[in-house]
Amino acid sequence: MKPRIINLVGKSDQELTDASKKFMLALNLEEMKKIQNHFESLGRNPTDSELETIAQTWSEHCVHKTFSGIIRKDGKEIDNILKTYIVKATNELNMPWCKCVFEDNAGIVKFDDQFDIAVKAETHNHPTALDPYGGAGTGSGGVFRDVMGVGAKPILSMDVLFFGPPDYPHNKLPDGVLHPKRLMKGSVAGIRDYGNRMGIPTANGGLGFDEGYIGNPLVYAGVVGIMPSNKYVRNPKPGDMIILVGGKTGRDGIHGVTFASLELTTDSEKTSSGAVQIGNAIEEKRVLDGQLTARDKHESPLYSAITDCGGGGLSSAVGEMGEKTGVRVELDKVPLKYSDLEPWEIWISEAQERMILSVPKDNVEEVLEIFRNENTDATVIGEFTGDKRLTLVHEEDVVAELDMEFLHNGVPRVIREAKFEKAIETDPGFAERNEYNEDLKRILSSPNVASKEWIIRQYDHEVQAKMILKPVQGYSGPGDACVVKPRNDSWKGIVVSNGVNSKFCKDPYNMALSSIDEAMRNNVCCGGRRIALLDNFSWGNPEKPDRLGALVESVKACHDGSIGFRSPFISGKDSLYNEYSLGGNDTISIPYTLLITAVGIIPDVRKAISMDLKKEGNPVYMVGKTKKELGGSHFYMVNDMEGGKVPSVDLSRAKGSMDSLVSAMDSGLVRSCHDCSEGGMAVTAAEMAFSGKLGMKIDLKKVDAESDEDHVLLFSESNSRFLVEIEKGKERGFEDIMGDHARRVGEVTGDKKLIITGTEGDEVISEDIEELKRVWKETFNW
Amino acid sequence: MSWVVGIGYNEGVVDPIGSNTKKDIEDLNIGTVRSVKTLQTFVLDGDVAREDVERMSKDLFSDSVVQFYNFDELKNDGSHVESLVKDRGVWVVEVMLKPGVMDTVGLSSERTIGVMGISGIKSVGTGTTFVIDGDFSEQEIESVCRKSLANGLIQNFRFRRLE
Amino acid sequence: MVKTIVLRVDGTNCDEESCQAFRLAGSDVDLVHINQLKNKSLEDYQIFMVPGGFSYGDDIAAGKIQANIMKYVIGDQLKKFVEGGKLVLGICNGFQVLVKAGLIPSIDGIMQRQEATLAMNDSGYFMDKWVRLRHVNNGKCIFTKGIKSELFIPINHGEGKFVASADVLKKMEDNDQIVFKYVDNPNGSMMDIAGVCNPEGNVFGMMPHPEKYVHPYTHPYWTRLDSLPEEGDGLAIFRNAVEYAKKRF
Repeated sequence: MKPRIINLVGKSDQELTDASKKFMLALNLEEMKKIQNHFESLGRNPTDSELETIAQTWSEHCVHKTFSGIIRKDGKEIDNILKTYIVKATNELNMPWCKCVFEDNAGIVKFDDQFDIAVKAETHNHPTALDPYGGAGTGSGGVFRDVMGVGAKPILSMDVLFFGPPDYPHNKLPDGVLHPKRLMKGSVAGIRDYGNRMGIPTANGGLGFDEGYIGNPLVYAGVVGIMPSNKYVRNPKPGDMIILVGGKTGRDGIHGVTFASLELTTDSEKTSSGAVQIGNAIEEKRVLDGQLTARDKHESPLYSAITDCGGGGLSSAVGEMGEKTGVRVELDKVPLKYSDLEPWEIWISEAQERMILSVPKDNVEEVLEIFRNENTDATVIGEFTGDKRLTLVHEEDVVAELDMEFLHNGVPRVIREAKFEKAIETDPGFAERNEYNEDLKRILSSPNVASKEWIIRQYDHEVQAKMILKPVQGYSGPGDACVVKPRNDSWKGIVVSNGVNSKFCKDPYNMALSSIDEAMRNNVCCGGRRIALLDNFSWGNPEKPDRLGALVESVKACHDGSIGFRSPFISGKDSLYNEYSLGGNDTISIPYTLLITAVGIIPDVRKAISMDLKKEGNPVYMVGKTKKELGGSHFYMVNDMEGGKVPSVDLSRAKGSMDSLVSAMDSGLVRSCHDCSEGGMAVTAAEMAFSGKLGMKIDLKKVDAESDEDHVLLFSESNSRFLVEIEKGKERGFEDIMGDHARRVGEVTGDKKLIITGTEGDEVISEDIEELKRVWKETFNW
Repeated sequence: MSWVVGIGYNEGVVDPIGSNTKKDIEDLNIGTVRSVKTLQTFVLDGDVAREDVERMSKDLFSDSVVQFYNFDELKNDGSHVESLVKDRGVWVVEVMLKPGVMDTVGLSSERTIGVMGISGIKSVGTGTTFVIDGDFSEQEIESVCRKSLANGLIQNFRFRRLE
Repeated sequence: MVKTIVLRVDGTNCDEESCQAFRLAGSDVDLVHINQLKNKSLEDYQIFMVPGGFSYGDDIAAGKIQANIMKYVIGDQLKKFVEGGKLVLGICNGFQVLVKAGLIPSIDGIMQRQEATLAMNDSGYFMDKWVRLRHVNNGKCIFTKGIKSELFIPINHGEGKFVASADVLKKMEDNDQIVFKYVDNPNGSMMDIAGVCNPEGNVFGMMPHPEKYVHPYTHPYWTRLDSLPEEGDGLAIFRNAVEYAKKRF
C-alpha cells in the first residue's frame, strides 16, 4: 500500500500546530518545526507512518520529557531531574545486588546466587477513566509483560487504586465522568480477572479516595517476577530476525500513548474510543508459557533479546530494540484482526498481549514451533539490519525510512518553569476532649482506612502456592506486606509493600519522604530488609509552574530518602497531565500522588512476622517518636480541620530503628508488629487488637513524644513508628537491641477491649474490639 | 443469516449476575427495580442449519443441569427477544460488543465449534440480555443503560418493553 | 516408579504446584500440553490429573470448553483408563472439567451425560478464602482413605456451586460418592458438597485446592498457631493416590 504523504515543508507555524492536533500527535510547535527542518534537509515531506512513529517515540510516555528536560526553579537550572536526583542516589549507593536499573523494561535485583527478581510498576490512568474494566485489566496485563520483557516469570501482582468518594452524589458528577463506585467495581474486576486468569496472585495493594480523583481515577499496576540470573539476554545482532508473538493486531489503543499526554475533556469518550484497549489474559498466558519454554529449553535462551509491545506498539518495541543496529519491518506480515488497517495503524497499534523477540536465524524454526504449540501466533515480521535506519515496508512499498539517531535523539529538550510555595502549617485551635472513641470509630470507617476484604478476597492469593504472608492476616487483619517464597528448595523470601499518602500533597517534599518511610516500615513490619524502591508519580499538568515545582520537591525527597534509608531506586514511571478540563480555563487537578513500592528480602520466611496480636500478657512497645504533625491527617479530615504540619522523617533515626527492629525479629523476640500510618497509633492498636481477638492497654504517658496533647499522641501520623508485641520474658533482650528507639507503652490483655489512658490518667479510648471491627468492616460491606 | 441464542438460569436457580445488577441499579436511584434476570447471548453468523444451532445450544452454550436455552433467527428490529424472553411486563435490554471490539468468548466458541465438527459458522459474537422487572420511563431505562449496564465506548445497547 | 500425567491447556495455571505435590508424594510427573497428547499414550501412566486454572478463560462456562475438547481428543483413551481402575484427579477447574465431561458422578456410566454441574457462586464473585472441610466418605474414595476427619484447605473459585437433581444426589449418597462437605458453605453448593468421586472411587474431584497446602507455611495464620503441623493437610490426598497406584499397578 502506498503511504500517504503529509505536507509539512514550507508550512506556517499555525499550520504545523493544526496538523499536530488533526493527527492527534501531541507534538508541540518546537517539535513540529524540528521535524519540518529534518525533512526539508532530506528534500521531501514525511509519510503518515513516519510522522506517527516520531510522535510515538517523542511522546511524554516514551521520552519522559518532563523528567529528562531542563527545569528552571528558584533562579537555577536543573538538567534532568531523574538523573540529578533519583538515579544519582542509586549510583551513589552502588549496591552490588542491583543488576539492571533504569535501563530495561523492569528493575532487576539479585535474589540469591541463582535467581534474580524483576520488578515494575506503572499507571494506566487515562484508559481506566474511559473503560474501567478494560483499562485496569490491560494495565495489569501491560505491566506483567514488562517483566516478561526481561525474560522473567511473574509471581506477584500488585494494584493501588485511587477514586472519588464511593458515595459521591450522581447529580454532582461532571459530564462524561463515570461514577467512582462504577470505576472502582470495574477496575477491581478488570485487575482480578486478568491476574487470576494468568495465574498470578494479586496480594499487595491499596485503595485511596478523594474528591480530587473524580475526573481522573488512578490505577497503579505492579508486578514482581523471578528468573534464573544467567538467562538475561539483550543483544540483537544484524541478521537476527524479528519475531512477533501473541495476539493479532487491530485498532486498539491507537493514540493511546499520545492520548496519555492530553487532558481529558467531555468529548474524550467520542474522540478517544480508539484509545481503549481490550484485554485477553489467556492469550498472554499462552505467550508466557511459550517464552518460558524458549528461554529454558536449552542452556541459553533461543532468543537474543525480548521485549514487550506496550505503549506505542510495534513502533516503540521494535524501534527501541533496533536502536543501535537498524531494522527493516514488513508490515504486511503482521497478523491482523481485520483486513483494512493502514500501515501506520499496524505500526502504532497498541493491541495487547504481544511480545517481540530477536532470534538468530538458526533458531527461528524452533521458536515458531514452540509458540504454535501453545496455540498462539508467531510470525517473522522483519530483521535487524546494520544500517542504523528504521525501514518500514508494506507489500512492495516503502512507507517509512527514518534515521535511528534522529528518531531516538532528535527530540528537542523541553525547558520548563517551576515554582513552589510552602503551604501554611499552623494548627487550628482545638479543645482537648475527655475521650476520643467517636473519632477513632469515624477514622476506622473512613474509606482509606476501612477494611477492603470484599475486594481482597476476589483476588487469588494461593495460585502458584508461594504466598507465606497474605494480605489478610489473623482474623481479617490488614497485612502490611506480603511475603512470597518463590523456590521449592529454599526458605528465602521476598517481602513486598507500598507507601503512598496524597493527603500530604500540600508539602510535596515531606509527602514523598513519608511515602518512602511508609513503604519501608510496611516492609520491616514483616521482616523485610535489603530493600529496593520504585517510584511512580501521578501528577497534574507539568506545564503549569506550581505543579512542576511540587514535582521537583518530591523528586528531591526521593534522593534524600533513598540515601537516608540506603535503599536504591531501581525503576520508576510517571503519569502527568492528570487534570480534567471542563472547557475554558477550568481544570481540576488530582492531588499529587507518589506511590513508592518497596521490595525487600527475608532470609527465612519461617521467621516472618504478622500484625495480629498473639498472646495475652505480652508487653507492647512503641518504636519511634511522636510529634505534633497533624497536617493532612485523618483526624483533621474527620473533624473538618485544616492546617498543621505534614509529617517529616528523621532519616538517621528512622534507618537505625528499622535495622534494630529487624535484628530483634531475627532473634525471635517479636511476636507481632504493625506500623503507625493513617489515623495514627490509635488505629494501629485497634487493628492489631481485633485482628488477634485480644485486647490492648496503652498508657500515653509512656509514649516518646514531643507533645503532651492526647489527640496528638493518639492520632498524629508521624513517621517511622511501630507498635511491637514482644514475647513475655524477652523484654530485656529487646530493650538491649532497640536502645532508645523503643519504649514500653502497654500490654496485650485478654478482655477484648482497647483501653488507652491519656496524659491525665483518664481513659481516652475505651472500646470493645468487636465494635471497632464492626465499623471498620461496614464501609465496604458490598 | 444470523441466529441469536439466549441462555438463562432455570426457575429456582440463583442468578448471581442478575442480583448484583439489581444492586447496581438500586445505587443509581433511578426508577424502581424489583428483579433482574440475565441471559448469556450468542449471535451466530454464517450458513448454519437450525439443527446445528440446536446442537450448539444444547451441548456447548448451555449447561443442561441449571440452564435453559432459546434461540431464533436474528431480526434487525430486535423482535427476536420475544422468542428468547418468555416473561412479559418487563424491560429487555440487549448489550453487545461493538463490531471490531475483540470478543474473546466469541473467538473461543468459534474454535470449539470447529473441534465439534460443525461447519458454516463465520463468527460468534457474545453479549448479555437483561430482563428487568421494574418501573421505569423510557428515558430512565436509557439512563440505566448508560450509567450501569453498558459502556458506550465498546458496547451497543438496545432496549424494548415486552407487555 | 508411579507415573502421573498432569494435563495442561490454554489457561491452566496451577500446574506447577500440582506437579510438585505429586513429586512430594513420590511419583514421577509429566506435564503435558493437550497439543502434545498425540505423542503420548495414557497407557503409560497410572494417574491422570486435570489441575486448576482458567482453561480457555472460563469462556462460556468454566471447564466447558476443555471438557468438550478432551472428549473429542482423548475420550476413548480416558474411558479405557477409568475402566481399567486407574486414577483420575480433578481439582477446581479440573473438577469442573470432569463434571462437565460426565466423568463425575458418572452414575449412568462413563461420560454418558452431564449429571451435575458447578455453577456460579451465589455471591456472583470470585472467592479466595480458606475453608474447613469435613471428610464424609466411608471408604469408597481411594484418594481420601484414612485421612483426618476435618481438613483446612483454600478455595479460589468463581464457579464452585455444586448442583444436581434430587435423584442424582440421592444416588450419590447411597453409593458413598460424597467425599467432602463444607463446614461453612461459601458458595451455595447443594448439601454443602465440596468433593465427589465416581461409583468405583477411582475418579475424584474437589473444588478446594489441596496442592496449595502441602507444607505448613502457606497456612493463612501459621504465625498464630501454637504448634505447626509437619505437613499441610492437602498432601495426604496425593500420597494416597501414589501409594494405591504403587500397590495396584
